[in-house]
Amino acid sequence: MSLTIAQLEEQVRQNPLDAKAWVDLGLQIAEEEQNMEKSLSTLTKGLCYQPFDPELRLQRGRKFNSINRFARAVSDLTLACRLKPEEWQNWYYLSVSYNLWGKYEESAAGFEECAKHIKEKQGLYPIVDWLFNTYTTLGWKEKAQKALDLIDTSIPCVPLDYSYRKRVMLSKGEIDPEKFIDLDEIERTCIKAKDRPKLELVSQLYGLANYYHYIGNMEKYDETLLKLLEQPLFHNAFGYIKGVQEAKARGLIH
Amino acid sequence: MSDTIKELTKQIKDQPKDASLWLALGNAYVEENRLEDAIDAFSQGIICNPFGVDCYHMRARKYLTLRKCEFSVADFAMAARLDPDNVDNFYYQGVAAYMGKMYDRAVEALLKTIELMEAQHVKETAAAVDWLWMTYTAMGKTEEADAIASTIQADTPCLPRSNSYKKRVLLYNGTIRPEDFLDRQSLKNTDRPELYLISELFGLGNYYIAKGEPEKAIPLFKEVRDIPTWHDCFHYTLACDYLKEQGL
Repeated sequence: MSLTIAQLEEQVRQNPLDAKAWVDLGLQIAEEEQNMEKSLSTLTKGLCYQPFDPELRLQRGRKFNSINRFARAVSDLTLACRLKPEEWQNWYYLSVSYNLWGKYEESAAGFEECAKHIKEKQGLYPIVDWLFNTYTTLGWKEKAQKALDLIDTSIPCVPLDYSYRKRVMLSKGEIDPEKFIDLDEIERTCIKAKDRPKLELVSQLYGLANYYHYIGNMEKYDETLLKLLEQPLFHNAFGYIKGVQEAKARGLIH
Repeated sequence: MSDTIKELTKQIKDQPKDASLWLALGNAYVEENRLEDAIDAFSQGIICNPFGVDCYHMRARKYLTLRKCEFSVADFAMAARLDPDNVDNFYYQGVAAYMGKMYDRAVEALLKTIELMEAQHVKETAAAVDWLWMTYTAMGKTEEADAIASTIQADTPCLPRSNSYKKRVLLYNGTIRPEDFLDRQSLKNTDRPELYLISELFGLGNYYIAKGEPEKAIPLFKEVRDIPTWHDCFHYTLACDYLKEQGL
């Protein structure tokens, strides 16, 4: 059972050198209070005591993404990768940050490095999806197609990656886009956590929008982006952030 | 956009991985008071060179200017690890930690500052001692506060820019009486009279608070608040924060 925020605060008070305690506290604040600034501040306090801790750098980098501070995110995640290069998550979130920042070549390079550190094939779904997205944004269609070949979708995914697997299947043409969004299926399949179905919907709407963009159906692309932007929750999620960026680029919002 | 920023931006386009260019760009943004842009530029310098000290140090200083104290302390902590001989990495870390109420970090950083200043014969230990006295006092550690204040005497060498800090410490250790502390006339003859006045008004007011006489601090802090310049200085912030906390 996870500790409460009050218990975690007591832990860091007792032992401020405990980097894991700061990570746990920062993440719990983000989860329970949805307060990214406070989470950032907490993780930063951990770095005051342990500036070289790669986990603190990873988690703070992720939180900088949530508030659209991409240079600051990448500076933390670059350091995390140097401190612990064998940790795939460091490369993953570095590459996501570059993508959100609009630096697609650096993003693609990072995801390629990330893929080398994945031990189990089933862990590749998010990387394949992001590589496909990044390569298609760069206009590198051949590389985008090759990325999809990195995984056979008959391989089951971990529950957290359910939407990423669906997006890869969509990109491979294995799901009809008209039938892609299935709210009952989301409810049945996603992990059982508060509001999780809403997060999966955000992720899947972005994936669908990206697919329409890829095949050149701009009317459906715009329509799906706007539907994504109507979602009331998880505006810190990568799919939502990307959706906002692309909707602005399309002139759909200002 | 200034010519310097335009020129540096052009150079960075050709050499995007040159950390020194990003550092220069960050400093150029600072000149224009574009502090968030400066922080982003220093971040880009760190991306180019994650173990280079200068961008962490400058980013820390700008976080401190913005009073994002824990962000400042974290970057100074990193800078201090990368360059442990640079007094400023410890001194400003201590100041940032005090401003952010991270008193344990402030103690550690300021003790190290004093150690380095003595080793390098930097005649500014009074500044670090002052901040350390304030930190111990805030923590309720009166014995430690008294002990550190006693390390500065009237004949302790001191650079002119730290004279106000020295005076404050002499107040704390009883060498100067509170009623004799403020000498407004002599401050007028210095190079930055209003800055040192802010420092001394705050120092005296903070001393009264520590001695259980906060009512004597109020008019002093109000006088600080009314000074029209140097609003970026630490003691101006501290005085105004205190008044705000008191609903004044």
